[in-house]
Amino acid sequence: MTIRLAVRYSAFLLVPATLVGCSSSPPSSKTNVAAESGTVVVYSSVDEVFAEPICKQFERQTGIAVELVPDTEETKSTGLLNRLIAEKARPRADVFWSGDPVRAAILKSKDVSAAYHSPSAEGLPADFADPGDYWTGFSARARVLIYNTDLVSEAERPTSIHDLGSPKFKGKACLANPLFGTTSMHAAALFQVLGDEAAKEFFQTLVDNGVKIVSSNGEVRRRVVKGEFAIGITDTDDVNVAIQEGKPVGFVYPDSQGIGTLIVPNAAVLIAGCPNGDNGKKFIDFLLSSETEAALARSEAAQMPLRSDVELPDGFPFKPVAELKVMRVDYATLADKLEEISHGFLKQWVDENQ
Amino acid sequence: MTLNGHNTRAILRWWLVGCVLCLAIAPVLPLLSVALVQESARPVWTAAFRGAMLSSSWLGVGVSSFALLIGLPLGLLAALYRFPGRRPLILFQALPLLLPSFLPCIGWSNLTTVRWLSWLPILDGFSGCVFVLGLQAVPLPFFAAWAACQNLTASQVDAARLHGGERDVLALSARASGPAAFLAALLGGILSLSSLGAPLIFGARSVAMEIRTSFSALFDFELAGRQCLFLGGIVLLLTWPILFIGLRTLASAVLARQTRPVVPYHHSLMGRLAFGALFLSLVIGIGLPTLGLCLPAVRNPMLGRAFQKVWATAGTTLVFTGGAGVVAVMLATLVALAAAADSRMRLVALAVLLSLLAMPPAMAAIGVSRVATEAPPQLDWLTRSQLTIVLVLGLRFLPVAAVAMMRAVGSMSPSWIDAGRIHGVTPFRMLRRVILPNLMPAIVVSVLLVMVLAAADITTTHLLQPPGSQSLPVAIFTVMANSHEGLVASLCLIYLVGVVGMLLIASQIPRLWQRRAA
Repeated sequence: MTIRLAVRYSAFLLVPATLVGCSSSPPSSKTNVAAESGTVVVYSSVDEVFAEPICKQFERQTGIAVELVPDTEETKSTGLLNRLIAEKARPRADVFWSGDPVRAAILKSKDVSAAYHSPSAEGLPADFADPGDYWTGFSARARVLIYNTDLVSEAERPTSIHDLGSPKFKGKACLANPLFGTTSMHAAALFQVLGDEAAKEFFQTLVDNGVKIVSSNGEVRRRVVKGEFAIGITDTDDVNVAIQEGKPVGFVYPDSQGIGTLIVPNAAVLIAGCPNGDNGKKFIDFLLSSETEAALARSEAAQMPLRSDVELPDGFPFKPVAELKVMRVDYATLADKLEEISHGFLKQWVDENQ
Repeated sequence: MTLNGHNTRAILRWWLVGCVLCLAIAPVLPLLSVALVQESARPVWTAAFRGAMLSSSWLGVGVSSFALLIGLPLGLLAALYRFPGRRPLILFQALPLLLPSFLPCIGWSNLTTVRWLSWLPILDGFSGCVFVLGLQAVPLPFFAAWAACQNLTASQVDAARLHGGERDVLALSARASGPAAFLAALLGGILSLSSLGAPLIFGARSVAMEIRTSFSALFDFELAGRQCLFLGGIVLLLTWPILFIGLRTLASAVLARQTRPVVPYHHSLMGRLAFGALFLSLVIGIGLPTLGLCLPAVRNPMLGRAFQKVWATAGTTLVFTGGAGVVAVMLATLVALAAAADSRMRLVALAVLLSLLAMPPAMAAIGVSRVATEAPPQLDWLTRSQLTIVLVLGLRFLPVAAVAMMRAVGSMSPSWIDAGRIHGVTPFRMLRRVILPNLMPAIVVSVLLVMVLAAADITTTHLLQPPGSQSLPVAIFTVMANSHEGLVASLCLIYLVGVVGMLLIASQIPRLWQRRAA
């Protein structure tokens, strides 16, 4: 009886522990096996639903297994970027597939990334790449104005980001917290393009007009869809989700007569000292190819190819980048501007107005 | 000699509890030490942080008060009266606590898009946070009050009933269960300090949001660590005096034993009231947010894709959560047994563990991640594997398991242990033959409870998961931003069904154990 009980208790306590032990051994061995069997570890701030099919395609083409660690706009609170910075001394990731170039530039500034000039970058505009090859931009989203078609008529629809501060939308506009995600990049871009004083004035008009700060671009979409707000500023992939779901929304490329629309390209980053460098480079080559740009255009994200010769799918809701009035920003220095305003004006602005 | 032996045992017990507490503190130490040793360019105590701290304090007070006001009367009604569907209604009150906090927020948020529910007020800002987090915290005082009522004897209740009817019964049970319910509600308030989901979605200011900004927007680990340190200090400042004052009551609530337990009383009016209140609480606490989450799944079900995702993540989820449950409960059992005879030790253990529970989960995760980077590759099995997540999650939910196990240990009859001592039974034999068999139902239930709570801790899992392994809640969290709402809703629905299943299993274990013992 005693032995039986002892065995039972041991089994109860040990079975899960053994499971854990067994399952814990592969990761360490995986690190060793990776180089031999062909594995690439990809951290991605692009939504998993969009990143996963691309990774699968890479696996089919090359036979190299992709271990994807996804992130999203919504999980930036925990953030793969933090993880990459924390793991800097002994990285686990080979590639960071960033949803925007600012995060890629932050990694460069923190010596987390390595320079790599991919042969596949041929045909991609140099404006959307780091001059030192620490990141290379491909398929993009745009920052657009989203509006609820039940609340805003075609004639009244906004045309400029300055309409967020227009009296006709007083208390009816929202934007995501400008300390995070693509909204932070947009804020930095405005400071670069408009100049510090004009940008500060713009943010002050938002306050005066009762613009609401919400948690994320997805939340902007949700609240505009619900009719809680008439207009907001968000990314094209968020707009596309609403369009696909048949929600009553429309969108506008802002400032097509003025400073232009901010383009947010994806960025491929090779991690310095990564465990599977060669496979990492192959993955980046694949990401930067025309085929990946075409696949991302076909995906639910409806990302806009940066190459002008990539064929767009039927019913593609957005214009090719080449046909847009693009906001002229220096992506390479945007991270520095963002760091400056995040620690100063922008942080204070959010603190005072949230 | 006896005195020396007693002292030695006491020292050993303190040493054991101290070791477990040190282990529990270990994951947050790396970042705390960075915060203390390295200089941050920015000060902590800024106007913004003061404002956030104030807002969080009010949020904590609001959540605690809300939870206490709802949970205490519900707990009393549930414990004292008989009504139809009593067992499932009591059991399902635990559900709001077991879901990740962002799920009810999104559920409530979705509800307002439904035309026939558009009259519902839009939850936003501070009041929205208090409402949703308060609803999530209600189960804590509810079960504390319910459990404390179980400590009343039937004769006490009968005497009160004879003296002044139901009013006196309620007054007596409120006095008996009030302190435990108050402490449980306080725990709910403390937990809300580190909650990010509701303030993030409803746009309320909070310390957790400030810490998130330091981590994710400013990339200042030192500042974030110091802010966490401040938060922990304030939690300590709040919890220690309250625990100290309420120690005697807490001890009696946790350790009291039943002689003739209260039997739920049949009272037509009170029974109907209890049924109505518990039912309404379930509708508001879980029904409406679940409806909000699941409506898109009804409109456009994507169960096939959802099940594929569940299948792909089920193994990892079980390993992470099951392992965490075992780690937490093993350590909690040690603490509970060591502190069973020493109320001061229980106080210290509870205060330290509750303070740790209030720390933002990212703190331990980022700290461990940094240690892993500095450690030699030979230690990857410990610092960069699934075992790492198991240990960090297990230690994070050790406080929950500790409270449950203290309660279970307190409910054991001391006469068994006395009888064993008189007959010269060795401590190991006593543990094996008497204590563990008696604690086993509580152990299994606590493991299941920690499993569900650990599953809902997305931050830790997301920051520490090895490449290629993903748990179900993290999978939901990563697809919810831009996936089709039908897929997200289907995943949420499956997750909810899983949690209900676990709850049902947990509820049957003590009964099955009793039947087996009989």
